[in-house]
Amino acid sequence: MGGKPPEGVRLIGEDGRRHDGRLPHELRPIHMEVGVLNNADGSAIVQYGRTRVLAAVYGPREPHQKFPLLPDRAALRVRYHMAPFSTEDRKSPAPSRREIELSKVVRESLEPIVIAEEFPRTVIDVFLEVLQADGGTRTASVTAASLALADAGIPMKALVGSVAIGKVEGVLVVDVDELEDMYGEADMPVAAAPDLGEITLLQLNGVLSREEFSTALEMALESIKTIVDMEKDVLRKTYTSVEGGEQ
Amino acid sequence: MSFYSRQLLEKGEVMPGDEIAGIEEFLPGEGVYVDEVDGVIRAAVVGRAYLDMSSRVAYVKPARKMEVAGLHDEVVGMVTGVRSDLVFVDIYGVVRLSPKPRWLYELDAPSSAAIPISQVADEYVKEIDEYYRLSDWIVGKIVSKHPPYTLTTVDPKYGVLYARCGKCGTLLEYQSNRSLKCPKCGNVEKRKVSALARSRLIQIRPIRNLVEYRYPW
Repeated sequence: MGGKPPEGVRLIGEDGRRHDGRLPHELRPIHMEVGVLNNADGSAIVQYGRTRVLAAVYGPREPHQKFPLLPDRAALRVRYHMAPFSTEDRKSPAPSRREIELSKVVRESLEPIVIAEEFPRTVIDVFLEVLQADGGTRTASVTAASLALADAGIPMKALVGSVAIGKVEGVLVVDVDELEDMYGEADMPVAAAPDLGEITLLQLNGVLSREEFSTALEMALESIKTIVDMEKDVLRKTYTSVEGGEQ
Repeated sequence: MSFYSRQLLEKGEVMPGDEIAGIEEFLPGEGVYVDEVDGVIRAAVVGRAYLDMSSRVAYVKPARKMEVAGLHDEVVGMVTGVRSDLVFVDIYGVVRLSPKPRWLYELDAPSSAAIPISQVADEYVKEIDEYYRLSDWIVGKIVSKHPPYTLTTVDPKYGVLYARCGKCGTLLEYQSNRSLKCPKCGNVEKRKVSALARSRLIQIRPIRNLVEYRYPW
C-alpha cells in the first residue's frame, strides 16, 4: 500500500473515473455460477472482474481424525489457497502465513451464518481455490463460500456477500482491485448478511477518518446487498432450471 | 372455500434468510430457523416454503437434500469392532428396505456407530460373538440423532448381509436366520442374519479384500 502507481496509470482520472473506467461506487463485473463441481456436495465459482475463486463444500461429515470435532455443533474448516498460477509470479503451492490467516478470516465470516448446531460431532469442509488473483480474493472467497454452502443444502441463517472499500487518492472506491490495493491509501474488506442486518467481517488496512469510515461502511453494505441479490438470482435460476428439467 | 379449510399453503421459492411466518402463528419445521431478534421464522435452505394450516407448522422443502445419515435411517455398514457389550460399526451408506430394498446414497465419509447388546436381537443375548463378528457387512437402523450413532438390529430384516469364513476367508452362504455356512470348508458360523440377506436386490460383490457394493439395489 502507498507508493506511486506505474507511469501512465492514473488511479483517479480527471473525470472522476478509476483506472479501469469505473465510477467510485461501481462494482467490477461480477459473474457467479453454482454446482460447477461434480464430486463436491456444493460448489460455486465467483468472478469479481479478473479475480476468480472456486469454492467446494463437503459435509457435514465425520472426519478421519476426530480431534476437530465439537460436542455441540459442526466444526467449520476453511482452506483458502491460491493456485500457483493465480498470480503474476508463480506462487509456491505450500500454504503461506497469509493463506492460513485468510482461511481463519473467511471461516470467522461464515461461522455466524451457518447453523452448525444441527450437526454436532461433524465437520463442514470449505475449500477455496483462488484461480486468478486481481485484488479482493478474500471478499470473492466469502461470496463463493456462501453460495457453495447454500448449494450443498447446509442450513444457513442468511446468505453473505462481501466487498472491499478502498481509499484511492482521497476518494472512497468500491471493490478495489490489485492496483488500487497496492497504491491506494486504505483497504476495508466487509462481509455482511443484509437479510439479518449483520456484519460478519470487518477489516481495515490503512487510515480512514470517522466520517470516511461511516461512508465506506454504508457503501460496502449497499454493494453487498447487490451482491447477495445476485447470489439469490443465481441460486434461483439454477434450482428452477433443475426442477423444470425433472418434470 | 374458507382460508382455514386449506391444509397446505405454498409460499413459493425461498432463499436462506427469507421470512416465512411470524413466530406467534406457526411452529418451526424442517429447513427453517427461528430468528429471535425479529420474532419470525426464516428459511435456512434454498427450496419451497409451505405453511401447514392444520398443524400450524412452517417448513421448507429443500431444493437439494443433504446426503447425511440421520434418525430412523436404514443404513449399511461394516463391523469394525466387537466388545462383550457393544458392536462398533462404520456406516457407509443409507438404504431404504421397504417396500423394496433400494440404495439411496453413499456417505461422504464413513460415520461411526455402535449397536448396544440390548439392540442386537429380539432375545437374550449372552455372547455377542454369536451375532456379529469383525468385518461383517450389516444393515441396521439409526435410533439416535447425532454421530456416533446408536443402531438397532432387533427387527428380523436387520442383521448380517455378508460375512466371511473365520477359518478360510471364503464368503459365507446362507443356512438359516441364525447361521451361515462356508461353501469351501464346511465351517458353520453363528450370526444374526438379515431376512434380506438372500434378496437379489441386495448385492455386495467381493473384490479381492475389498467389498464393492453395487447400486442401485
